[in-house]
Amino acid sequence: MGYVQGQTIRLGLTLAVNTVLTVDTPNTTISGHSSSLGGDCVAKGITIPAGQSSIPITCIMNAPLPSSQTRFFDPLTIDWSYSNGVGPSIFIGSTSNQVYVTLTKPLQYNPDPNFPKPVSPLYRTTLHLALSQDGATDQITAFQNTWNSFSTAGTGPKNVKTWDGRPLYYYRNDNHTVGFKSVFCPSNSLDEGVLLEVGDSSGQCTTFAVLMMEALRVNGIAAHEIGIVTNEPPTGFLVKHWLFSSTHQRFSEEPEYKWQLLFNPEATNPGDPSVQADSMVPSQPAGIYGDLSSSPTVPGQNSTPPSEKAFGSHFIVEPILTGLSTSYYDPSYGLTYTNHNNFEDVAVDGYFRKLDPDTALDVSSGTSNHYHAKKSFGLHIIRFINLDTTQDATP
Amino acid sequence: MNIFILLLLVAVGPMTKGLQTEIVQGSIQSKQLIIRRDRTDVQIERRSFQAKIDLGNGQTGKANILIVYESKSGLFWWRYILGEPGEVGRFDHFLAHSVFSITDNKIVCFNFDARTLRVAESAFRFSSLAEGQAKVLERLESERGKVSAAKLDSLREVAIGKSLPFTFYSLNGNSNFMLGPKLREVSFANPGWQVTLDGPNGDGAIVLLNDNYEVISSRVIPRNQAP
Repeated sequence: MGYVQGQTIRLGLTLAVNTVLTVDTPNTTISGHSSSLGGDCVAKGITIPAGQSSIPITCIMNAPLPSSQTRFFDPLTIDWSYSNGVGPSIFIGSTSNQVYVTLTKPLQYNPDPNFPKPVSPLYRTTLHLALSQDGATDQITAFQNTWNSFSTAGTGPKNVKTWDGRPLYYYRNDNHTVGFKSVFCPSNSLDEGVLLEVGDSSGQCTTFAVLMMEALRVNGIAAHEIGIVTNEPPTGFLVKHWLFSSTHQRFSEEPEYKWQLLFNPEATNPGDPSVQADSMVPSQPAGIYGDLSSSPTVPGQNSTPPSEKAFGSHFIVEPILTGLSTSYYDPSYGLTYTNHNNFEDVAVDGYFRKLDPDTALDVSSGTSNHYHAKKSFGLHIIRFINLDTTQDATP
Repeated sequence: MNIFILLLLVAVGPMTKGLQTEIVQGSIQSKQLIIRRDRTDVQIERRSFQAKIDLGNGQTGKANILIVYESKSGLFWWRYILGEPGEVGRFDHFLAHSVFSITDNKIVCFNFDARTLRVAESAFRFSSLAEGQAKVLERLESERGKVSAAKLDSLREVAIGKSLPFTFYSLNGNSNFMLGPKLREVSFANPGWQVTLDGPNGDGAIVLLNDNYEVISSRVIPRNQAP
C-alpha cells in the first residue's frame, strides 16, 4: 500500500468468523490499534449476520499520517479487537502489511484529484526503491534515498532487487547469460514493467534509467533521460575495464586505431538471420578479444562484469533538481559523472569501429567480427544528449 | 629423338611460361543479377572464386576474388582479398551489405557495414568476363610482391557520419552497436549519387553524394513517410 504523507489511511479488513452465528449480532464494534502510527481505526455499529463465515469491514484511521517525512512501515502492524458493548473488548488478531508513504503525490498520477488512479502503472518495486530508505523531508533527501537503492555511495552498484528480493540484472552474466537480448525501453517510454516483468530479469541501461526515473517520480522528482554516444558516429565505445596489449598491435601502422578487437564469430554471426547479432555473448575464450582483454570489472547491477561491455550508446539520468552535488547518475553501474568528458574518464577505456582492413578480414574469415580499437584516454569524444530535447546536454 | 624433345616441352611448358596463379577447383560461384542503370534494367554477372598465388620467397597464399561484369558495355569491376592462413574466405557478408551501381562509364560498389559507407569504382572494360578474369590472374601474379595481407584494394570511406542525427544510427533505446542502418539502394542522377539507407527504427535516410563521393545533403525520412 502507498500513501502520500498527511493522508489518512483507510483500511479494509475481512473478518473470519470461527463459529458461524445462528442469529444476527448487532451493534458490534471492531477496533484496530497501531502503536507505530499511534492511532486507531474503529468501525462501530456492525451487524454480524447469522450464517456468515467472513465479514468485510472498512474503517478510517482517526489521525492522518505525519506530514513531515517519507515513511516505510515494514510492516505496519494493527492489533484488532472485538466488542459487543456488553463485556470487555476481545483481542481477535493482528494484521501486518508493508506501507509506503511518499513525500508528495507521485508524478505517475494525474495532478487533477478527479483522476485518482495512476496514469501509468506504479509498481511496488518502484515504491520500494523510492521509499525503503525513509525519513526524507525534502526532494533532495528523497532523491538521495532513492539513489542509495541503486548505488553504494556513488562508487558502484547496490545490486538492486525487487520488493520481494529478486535481483535485477544489468546484462545478466551468470549461469543464465543474456547479452543484447536483454530488454530495453524506447526513449521517453517510462515503463519499468519492461524490466520488472521479464522472465530473466535482465535489462539494458535504458531499463535501469527508466526504473530510477520512475522511482524518483514517486516523490515528485522529474528527470531527463540522457543518451550517450560518441562524437564520431561510426564509433562505439568500450566500457571499463579493458587491457590493450602492450606487445601486440596488429595495426601498428595506423595512427590511432592500432589494436585489433575481435569478437567471437558466434556472437556477431549467429547464423540464423532472424537472430540478432551480438558483441560479447558468447564471449571470447579467456576474455581475449584480439589485441584486447576484457577484465572482470567494472560491475553492473548484479553482474560482475556485465555480459556486454562494447556499446553503440548508453543511457543515464539527469534529475531536474537544484542542490545536488553531481548532475548525472548512472543506475546501471551505480556511478556518477559531472559531464560528458568525466564519463569518458570514469567509464570508458576505448573506442572501436570498422576500418577498411576489417572488411577484408571479414571476407577472408567468412565472418564479421573484426574491428579496430583505440584507447580513449583524454580524447573526449563523448556526447551527452538530452532525449527530451535531442540537444546536447553538456557543451 | 624428335618425339622425346616434343614431349619434354609439353611437360615443362606450363611450369615455365604459364601462370602459377591458379583458381582453386570448385571455388567459382556465379550469379546473374539485374540492376538499374538510369531507368533501364541491366544484366550483370557476379563471380567469386579463390586463387592460389605465389607470394614470392617460396610462400603461397590464397586470394579471394570478386568480379562484377556487364557484357553489353564490357565494364568490369574486381577486388581481391588475400586470405588469412587456413581461412576459407566468403563474400556473403560483404555482398549482403553492398549494392552495385552502373553508369555509362563505370561500375561502383557501395558497401555499408558497421555504420560506415565505403565505395570502390572501376572503369575497366573487357570483351568478355573470361578475358577480364585472365587479366586479374595475370596481375595477381605480376604484382605478387606487392600483394599485401588482408588488404581490400581501395575501398574508400565516405564521411556521412555527422550528416545524419544520432537517433538514426541506433535502435531506439537499444545499445547494441550491431543494430545499425542498412543500405537499401543506390542510384545515379545528376548531380550525383543518391544513397538510401533503412534505419533500425523504421525510418529511412537519403544521402546525396557528388561524383567524388562527398556529401551534398542528407535527410531523414520519418517512419510513417518511409517508402
